Amino acid sequence: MLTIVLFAEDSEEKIFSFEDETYHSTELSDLLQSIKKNPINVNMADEKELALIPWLSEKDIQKIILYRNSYKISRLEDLTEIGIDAVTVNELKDYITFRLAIDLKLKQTSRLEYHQPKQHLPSTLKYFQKTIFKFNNFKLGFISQKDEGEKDPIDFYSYFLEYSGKDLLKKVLIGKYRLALGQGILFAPKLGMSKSGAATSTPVKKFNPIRPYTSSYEIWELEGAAANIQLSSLSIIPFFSNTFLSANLDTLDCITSFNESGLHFDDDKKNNVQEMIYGLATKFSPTDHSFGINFAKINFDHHFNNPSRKNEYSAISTDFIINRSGFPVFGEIAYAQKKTAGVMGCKFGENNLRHLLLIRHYQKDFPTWHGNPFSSQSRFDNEVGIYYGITIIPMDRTKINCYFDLWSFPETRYFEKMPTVGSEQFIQIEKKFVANSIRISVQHKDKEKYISLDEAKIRDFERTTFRADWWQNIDNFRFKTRCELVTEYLANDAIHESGILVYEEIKWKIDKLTLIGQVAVYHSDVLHYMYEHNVDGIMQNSILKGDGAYSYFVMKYNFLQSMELQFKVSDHWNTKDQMRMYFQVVSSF
Amino acid sequence: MKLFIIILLLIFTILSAIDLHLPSSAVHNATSGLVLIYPSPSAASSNPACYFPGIETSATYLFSMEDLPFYNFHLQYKYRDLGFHIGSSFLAHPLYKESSSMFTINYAYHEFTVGSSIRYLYNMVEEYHEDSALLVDIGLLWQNGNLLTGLSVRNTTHSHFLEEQLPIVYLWESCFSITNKSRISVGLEKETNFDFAFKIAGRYDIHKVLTILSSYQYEPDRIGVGAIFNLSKINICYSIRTHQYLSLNHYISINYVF
Repeated sequence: MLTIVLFAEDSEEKIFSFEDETYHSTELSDLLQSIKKNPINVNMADEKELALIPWLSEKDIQKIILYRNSYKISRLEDLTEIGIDAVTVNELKDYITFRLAIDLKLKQTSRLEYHQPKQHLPSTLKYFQKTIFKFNNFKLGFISQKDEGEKDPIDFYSYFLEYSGKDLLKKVLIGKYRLALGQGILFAPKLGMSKSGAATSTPVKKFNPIRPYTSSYEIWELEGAAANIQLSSLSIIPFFSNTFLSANLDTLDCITSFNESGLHFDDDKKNNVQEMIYGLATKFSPTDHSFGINFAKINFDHHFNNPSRKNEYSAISTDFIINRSGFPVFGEIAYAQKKTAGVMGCKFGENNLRHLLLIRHYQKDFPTWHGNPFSSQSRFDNEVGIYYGITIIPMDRTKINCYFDLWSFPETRYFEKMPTVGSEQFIQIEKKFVANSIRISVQHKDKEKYISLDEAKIRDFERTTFRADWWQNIDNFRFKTRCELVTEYLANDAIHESGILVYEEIKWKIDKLTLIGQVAVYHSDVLHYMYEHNVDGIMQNSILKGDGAYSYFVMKYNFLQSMELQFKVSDHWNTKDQMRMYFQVVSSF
Repeated sequence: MKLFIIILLLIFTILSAIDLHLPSSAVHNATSGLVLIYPSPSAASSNPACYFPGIETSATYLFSMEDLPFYNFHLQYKYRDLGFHIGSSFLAHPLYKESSSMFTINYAYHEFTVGSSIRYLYNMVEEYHEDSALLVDIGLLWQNGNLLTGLSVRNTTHSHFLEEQLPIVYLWESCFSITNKSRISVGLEKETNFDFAFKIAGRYDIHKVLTILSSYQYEPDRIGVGAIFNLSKINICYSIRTHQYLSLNHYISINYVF
């Protein structure tokens, strides 16, 4: 197999690896699905948008543009009359629309959740709703949520009015929004992935700078206004936010911590701290490169009880991406409260062997509330680290990903009064066949390791995970089998624990109906983390420990072209009162 | 404080056993001691079967401390199927001195090369001790298409130093040329009384004048990165390598290829 690859290089033939083929076919399929859901209006679409439809030739597009300058296209026959052949027109019918001028869409998502473990709370149900109304270049949205036990039916809400243009005013947002700049040191979505099996991709942050806040997470949003003004290669993003956070206060009314759970059982502690932010981000993007300077002024109306944190401060950062044949050098350096934070990395190599190196250095007590750059865990202050990722494609349909991450916390952290170090190693081998694929992953993590100078105090906690996944496609069925072994070892106390998890997942999709079922059995002294399917919009990570079995069932039924019903139920077989149910309706008009 | 700890380690522990794993050049600093991924004359100090003719000199301040300079010099010459190598390393501190001088001979037969080195190790701690030892290393190389594999055993003579036996070090390495610009090398190192150290290194020739090297070593955890500027027959390499508790090890080497 290798010989073929080398031969192809010598003869300068361009061959696509399996990965490329998959990528292109998936990309086309995704594009067509997307167009089918939101058909292109032949009376309004510009040349680029019409070119997205693969069956239309350049000549066909020119004929459409010429015709619609004088007449309205209102039926398929109009297209045949202007010279587009009947076979092409027949292919187009699901992907185009003729409705004139007004592009009006409504998407409504309503979700109810019932968690049996929380049935003792006064208001057991959790609910979420999202309404997004699109009118030409405008989007209007309203999101609300109530957790179990909360009395206020609109405990959390988000709203926005968004304008998207093509020229000078690329975007204007009023309401609640999220900001993401550079590599995310000052502003970034908090739920972004940092490390994954894609060892040379996920640590690099690629952001859309402003977006409406449509998440159900009740923290980290900004409220006010932001805009993206485009002047040729220069983007100017002014932003303003005046929002309220839920904080724990000490007797002197100083902030000790923020409530990140989103649960508000005590109204006195809800939205009790005001945060005001204004700033300006600029991004210069000639060709594939980009350079940005970001500034923000942040003000809390309460002091912090930690004297090293000020309640009023300025933050500035500069970021860059220099792209060389798709292998970028990127980074961001930030300064706030007399502390610096920086992340810098580069990708290099060829398609068959790619490397990613990334270093970060964050000073202790650097303000991290709205940021989320690359780090070993959720907080990124007081950390120095280096990440090295490798992707190898040694032969067709085979991929090896590995990463190695070393970090240290040079100043005091959790245990004793000692600096700690940590490391993580990961290797994943994936082999794809025609109807099935197999993936083997091994992850080893040394967490919070320290050795005192006299070696009297040693802490070294190790966690190793071995995982084998197997997928099999048979007609409309997709089977997924996983076997996972986890060991944990605390060297200083010689505590050795382990666990095993096995699950089988079956997905069946036919026409408008999708059914997914899973049964997991586990025998474990340690925690197993398992992502599972859910109704759209929820990423659920189940945590399993002990001896038992867990199962869930998901159903999605598209009973009208514009409406989908989604239902999920999950339960632990060996533990009482652990059932969870979700019911969701998604409608698009 | 850091300097004090290192001096203590150097004085009370045999150098090769204290996990300093001092590389013999900037290239090997970048590749965590894997020597087949980028040919350089100093490779013979790790595997005597390596025959990469040229002259190489390297210098570093260990863990960025000016009191601890470490120098290396290596010369390799090839005559028909025979290769000859002399090399020397020197760690200089007012209180602590250590040097290692070696002579290597290797022979290539078809796709195999075998080699052996004699190493003279000298160590002196001011007003404390002074000793020396003679060590013999052996190595084997096997070229099979795009795969180059090496195996070496250092200190086959089980030599003693200050009445203690010096560790025996086994190193296996396989280097695979994925394309003519990219190589990847994996290796395992086992030292007496220590766990296996796993190593992986990558090489990418960005341009004919610039090569990037990167590596990872497990147990102890290290990441190395280096850049080589290839100027005709002269190669200049700069590299850094991490240490969990100490500062970065910066290294520079100049290599002239015959």
